[in-house]
Amino acid sequence: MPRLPRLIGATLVCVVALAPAGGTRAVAAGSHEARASAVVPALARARVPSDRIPSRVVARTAVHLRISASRRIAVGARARLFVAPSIDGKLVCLVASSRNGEVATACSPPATFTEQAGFAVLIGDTGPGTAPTRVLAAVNGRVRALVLAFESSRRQVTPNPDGGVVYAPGAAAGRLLSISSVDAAGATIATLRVPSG
Amino acid sequence: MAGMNRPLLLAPAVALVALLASLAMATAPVSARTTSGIVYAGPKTWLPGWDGELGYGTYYRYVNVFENRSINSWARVAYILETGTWTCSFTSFSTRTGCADSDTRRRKAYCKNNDTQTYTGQCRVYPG
Repeated sequence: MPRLPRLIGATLVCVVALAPAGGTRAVAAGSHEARASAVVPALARARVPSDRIPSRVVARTAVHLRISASRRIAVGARARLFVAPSIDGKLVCLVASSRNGEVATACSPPATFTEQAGFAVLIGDTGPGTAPTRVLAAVNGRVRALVLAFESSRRQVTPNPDGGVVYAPGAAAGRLLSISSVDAAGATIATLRVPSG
Repeated sequence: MAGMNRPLLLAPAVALVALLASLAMATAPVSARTTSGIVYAGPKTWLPGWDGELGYGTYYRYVNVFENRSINSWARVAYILETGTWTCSFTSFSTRTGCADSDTRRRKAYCKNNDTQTYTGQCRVYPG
């Protein structure tokens, strides 16, 4: 007769014993998210329902994501762009899902995700030396514009308030040579030369 | 009396095992995603221009990832069809670059250090 209360009591003891470890993890995760919010503006705002990454997309990302912390930062060029920290908080990821079923991922540690260049970028193409089909980026709060230098033209793209950039150049633009980030004063923060191979 | 103590001792143990089992089940997908699949190039040092590939197969919904790179760097991942057409072809400046899609055609998985820097890392495919 007293077995059930004893079993419940014992279970509670085990839960209490494990709780401090979980609490420590929660604190650690919180600090990771605080750092993450500094790298992309969207991570600092309140979450809305459209920020949820669809489950079919989550299954194909290149890292296990903390989906409860994801933000949708842009829509366009037949793609949706998200940012989310990895489940262990060691990475922040840019995730692009396309209507054709492609899911592309680019991750870096929070401290370097957008720190070096002012942005994180995924460039879709049809092979080495071809013109990009899409340029997908997440910028930090300092960046007011990205300048995309193509073989035959130059394009300045303004990020949205979430820090998202989705740009689909025409095939005539040619190969993408470099991407520069520009601050509010118009000064270049950094330039990344895009590889040709 | 001893017979009464046995359930008392067993109960916490059973509860602990049940809890640990549920925790293990909850974390299983994480570890599987971290270690499953085929590492087809590396882990090693990648000089600029070095690439790797995994022979033709059907990588339906497989994630192709160039991961654990030692520095923020350029890298490319792609699938290459038997016709020579490239799909799921992406380059990023990061420490991990990946792509997966629903293409059912035969193709090979490909990755490349297309940076001018040398770094360490590995290329892997795994079911998404």
